[in-house]
Amino acid sequence: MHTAARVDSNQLFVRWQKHGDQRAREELVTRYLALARKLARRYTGAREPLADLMQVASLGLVKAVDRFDPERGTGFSSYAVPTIVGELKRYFRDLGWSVHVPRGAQELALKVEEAQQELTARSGRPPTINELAEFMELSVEDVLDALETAAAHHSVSLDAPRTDDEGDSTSLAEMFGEEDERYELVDDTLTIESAMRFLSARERRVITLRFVEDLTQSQIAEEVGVSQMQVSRILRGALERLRELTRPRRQSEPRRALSG
Amino acid sequence: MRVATPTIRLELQSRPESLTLVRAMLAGLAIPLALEPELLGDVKTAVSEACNNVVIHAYPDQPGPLRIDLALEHDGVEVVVRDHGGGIGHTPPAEGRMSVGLALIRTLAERAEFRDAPDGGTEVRMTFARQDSVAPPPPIAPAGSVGPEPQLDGDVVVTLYPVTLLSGLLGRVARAAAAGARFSVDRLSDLHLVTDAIAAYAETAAASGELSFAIRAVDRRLELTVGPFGAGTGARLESDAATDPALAPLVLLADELVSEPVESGEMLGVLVVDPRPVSGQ
Repeated sequence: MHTAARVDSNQLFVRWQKHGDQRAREELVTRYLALARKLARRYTGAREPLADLMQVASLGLVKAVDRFDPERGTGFSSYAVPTIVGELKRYFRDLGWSVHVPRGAQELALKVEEAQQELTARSGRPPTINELAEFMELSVEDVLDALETAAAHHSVSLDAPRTDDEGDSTSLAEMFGEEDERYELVDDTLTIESAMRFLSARERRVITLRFVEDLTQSQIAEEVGVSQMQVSRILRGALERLRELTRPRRQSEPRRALSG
Repeated sequence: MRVATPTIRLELQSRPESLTLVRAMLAGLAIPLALEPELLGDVKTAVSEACNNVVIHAYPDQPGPLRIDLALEHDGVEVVVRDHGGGIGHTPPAEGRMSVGLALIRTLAERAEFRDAPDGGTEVRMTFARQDSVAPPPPIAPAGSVGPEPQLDGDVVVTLYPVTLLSGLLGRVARAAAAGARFSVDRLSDLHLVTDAIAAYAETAAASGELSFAIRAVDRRLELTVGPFGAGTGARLESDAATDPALAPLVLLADELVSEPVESGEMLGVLVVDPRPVSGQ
């Protein structure tokens, strides 16, 4: 089957390139369109729909059909693939893709956050990654990447230290004092008490709810009135800063200024 | 015998879903290895093709072992994908389905070699050049004495050097595995905190420059084994967590935390379960 097709293709190349037979050219393009589609699909992602990339890949295919020299003895595919891939990569470069990835990624992160809230509202429980991917018509990998961006975004600066005054003087002990039955945990945590004072009231509250009261992130989100992803970011940011605050003392480095 | 070059080895089964783990591993390397986005894209695509090739051609009937070795050189990245299947001779690179993958690898890699491995199977060796040759290789801590590698078991086993690579890799691979095991985003985020804690801890507590981890994840349950850490690590964790807030998530959010002595130190076993009640799925 393949052998027969290849012989035909060679004749078609002769008809097109030697005799300018447009129908032979069209036939060749049609015949290898599947190859272009395969390559386009490999570059399809959240940002570029397949249809657009198919056009780009087809253009590359036409270029390859026009330039291929059957007498060199290599198969057409091994000549066409680099040509088509080159076309696809040039397309992304022209879009300034790598330059704008951060913005695209952040938009995607926001969309994933919205989708997550919608799905949580629908089913009453946080969705799985597969459910998010299906709902947003993205790959699991794209959703994971978006979550990655969401987690990194503002992880430190979301809650500025000590800027909101409410409960600023609340010590860790006082906060924990409200939850008597889990009191034994306080001992483990008290040693970072002084560092906790540098966190905002909301950060302290989220940390307490997660680590002492053992609420899930979604339950905390409901309690505090933010999204689960924000809870995730607050936790990460707060832990990061706690770590920074306690690390210099342990490693006897000069204490660094608080990063906001 | 170890050269001071960052190296990563990934061992898994040639299941289609393994590809997500491989790609997560590569994504996790972008920052620690300072790979440009375009280079990362090329590596991801070419390595995916090589792995797909293994999934489809080396083990057409049932999954078999797949191994990926990655080394960072000064001027680029070398990746070797190996299988123990029938060898490349069984699937001649022709105009068929497979040739697209191989042609793509040849296009994207600076150098690509396909050959039958001496012990059976196929080896695809790819070298990718850095465009940005001014980027210095990441600083490498001197290799400590590396004891015999602990035998780990899981859906994916990763061995890496130096330990600093763990922070990018562990979290990414664990989250990809957890996604496949139908974790909710909620618990996935907890897992993120847990793996960050482990990675931070490893930088000071690892027994040597080399570290391994294995992950097994199914049905909203993820088991992670990581180490070797220095002897006595498991016993110290709770008290260390009292002074190091970075450790709190590990101690407080993991469902189980065990340590097991091995020849080269101590392996840490971490269990994270998503207790979400079964509904809908």
